[in-house]
Amino acid sequence: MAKFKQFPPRPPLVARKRSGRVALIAMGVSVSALALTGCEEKVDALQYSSAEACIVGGELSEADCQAGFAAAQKDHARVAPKYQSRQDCEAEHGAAACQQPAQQQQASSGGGLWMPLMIGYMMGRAMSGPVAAQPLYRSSSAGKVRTASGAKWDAKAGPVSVPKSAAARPSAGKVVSRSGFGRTGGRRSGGRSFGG
Amino acid sequence: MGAVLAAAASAAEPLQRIITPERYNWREIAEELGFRFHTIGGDPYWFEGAYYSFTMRQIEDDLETPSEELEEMCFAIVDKALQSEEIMTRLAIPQKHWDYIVDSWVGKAKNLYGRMDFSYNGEGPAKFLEYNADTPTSLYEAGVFQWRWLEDLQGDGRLPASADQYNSIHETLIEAFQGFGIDGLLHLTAEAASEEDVGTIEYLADCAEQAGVGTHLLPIDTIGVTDKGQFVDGAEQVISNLFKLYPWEWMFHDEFADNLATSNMRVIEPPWKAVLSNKGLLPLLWELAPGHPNLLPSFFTDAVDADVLGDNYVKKPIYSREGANIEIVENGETTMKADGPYGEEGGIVQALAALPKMDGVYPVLGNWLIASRPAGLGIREDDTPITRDDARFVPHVILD
Repeated sequence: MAKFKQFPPRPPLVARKRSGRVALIAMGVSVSALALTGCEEKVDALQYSSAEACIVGGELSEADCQAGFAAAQKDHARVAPKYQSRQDCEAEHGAAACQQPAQQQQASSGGGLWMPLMIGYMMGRAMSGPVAAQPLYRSSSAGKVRTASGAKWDAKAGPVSVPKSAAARPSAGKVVSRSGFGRTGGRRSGGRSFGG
Repeated sequence: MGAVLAAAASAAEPLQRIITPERYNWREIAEELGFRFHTIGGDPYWFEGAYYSFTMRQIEDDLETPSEELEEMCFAIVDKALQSEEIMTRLAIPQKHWDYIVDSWVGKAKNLYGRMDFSYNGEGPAKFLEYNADTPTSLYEAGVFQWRWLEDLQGDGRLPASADQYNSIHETLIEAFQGFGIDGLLHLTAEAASEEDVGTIEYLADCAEQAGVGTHLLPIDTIGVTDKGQFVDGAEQVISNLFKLYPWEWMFHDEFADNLATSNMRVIEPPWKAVLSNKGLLPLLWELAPGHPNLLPSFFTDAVDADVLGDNYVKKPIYSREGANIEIVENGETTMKADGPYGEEGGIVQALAALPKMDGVYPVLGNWLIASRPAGLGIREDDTPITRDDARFVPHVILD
C-alpha cells in the first residue's frame, strides 16, 4: 500500500521476542565524545602542543606554526565545550583539565560555566586547506585528544589522519539570537511531559 | 467431532491482569539504572504490583501484525496528504512549511520511533486510538526497566524461564541509530523542566552512543541561530543533527521556525511526521480503509454532524497531548471531559472504544515502532477512561 518503506522488512520472527541484552553505558552523563566510524573520509592534519613544538617538528614554517596557534587560541574560549559544573567537565576531560572562562572568574563567585584547558592545536599544511586551525583538548580516554566538537584520536605530535567532518572550523557564523525554540510549548503545556 | 471443532476455532482469551508483589529493591535498581522519574510529584509512575499477561498469538496476531499494517497505511496517508492542499490545510499545518515537509518526505528522511496506542481486551481486534508519531515518551521504561523486571522475576523463579516479553526496543533502537548514517555529533534536545522528557533523551543518547554516534544534550531554549542561518548549541557548535523531543506543531510556531528549511540541519523525527502526529490522521485512515478491523470510525468535526457516530463517541482536538481536551460522550451525555489548552485548530470525532476496565483501572496499550518496525509494548493504566499524564506504567509478559 505504501509507496516505499523506509527499512527492509524485518527478519523472520525468532522464538524470543525481547532484547537479548540491555546495557546502558552513560545514562545521566550530559556530554559525551564523538566516536569515530571506520569508513569516513580522512584528511591529513598536523597537531602539536604549542607553536614551539610545531617549529621543532619541522613540518611547517615558523610563521605557519605561529599563525595556526594564534588562530586556535583565538577560537578557544568561543568553541570550547562548556559544562554546568567542574565535575561534568572533568568527567569528559579528566582531572584538573578544566577552568572557568577568564571574564567569568572575575564576574561571579561560584557557579557559572566550566570549560577544558586548551592543551594543543591542529592545523593543515595550508592555512586555506580543508583542515581549519583549531584548539585541542584532553579527552576522558587515555592517550587521546579531542576537538571542540568531540572528535577523538591519538595524542601524538606531528602528522595525523583525521575525519573530514572533524577538520572544519567548529562554528562558522556569529550567533545572533537564542531561545527561538521552546516558547510555544512553554505557553501551552501544563503536563509534566512535553512529549506524550 | 466436537473436540476437533473446538480445537480449530481460534480461542480468544481475555487479557489478564495479575496482581503480584513488587521487587523489594526495585527503587534501588531504578536509581542504579538511571530511572529517576519512577515517582513523579510524589505519585508512583512505575507500578509493578501487577502485570499484564498475553499469549504469543495475541501479541503477534492482534498487535504486532496490525501495527505493521497500520504503519504502511500511515505512509500512504503521508503521501496523499503531501499532494493535497485541502488535507494539509485541514491538518492545520502552516502553509509556509509545506515545502520543508515535502522535501523531507521526497528525500526519504529516516524516522526513528513512534508509539501507536490501542484499546484491547484480548478478545476482539485491538482498536487504534491514536499515533504518537512525533514525540512519544515512556520509551525507557518499556525498553529497559520492564525488560529488567522480567529478568528479575525469572531469576527469582516467580515467572517461568519460558516467559517472554514483546520488547526488542533497546536492540532495535541501537540498530536504527546504526542505520541512520549520522555524520558528526547528534544533538538531543528537550524542555529541561520535564524530568521525564530529559530521561527519554538521555536514554536515546545512550542508544546512539552504543551505535557509535557521539551525542550532546541541550535544553531546547538554549539553541541559537547564527547570522548564516545555522543552528548552534550553547558552546556555539553547529548543530548538524538534532533529535527533538518537542512537537513539530510547536516548532512551526516558534520564532526560529523560518530558519529550519535553510539551516541544513537534519531533524529526527523528520518533518513529515507532522502529518502523522496529528489526530487528523484518524479520519484520513478511516477514509482510506473504512471498516478496517483495527480502525474506529472517525471524522473531522467540521465535515459531519457530531451525532454521525450515534450516542457514543470521543471528541479530540487535532493537536492534543497527554489526554488534554478530550471529551467522552456516552448515551448522548458527556461522561468525561479533560481540561487543557488545546482545540483552537479544530478537531475530530472518533467512535468510542472504551478501554477495558481491569481491577478498577483502564489500560492503554502502547505498541512501539522503531524505524517503522514493530518493536515492543508498553502499558499505561489510569484510574479514569482517559489516559492522562499521571497514568502508571505497568509491565507485561507473554505466557503460553
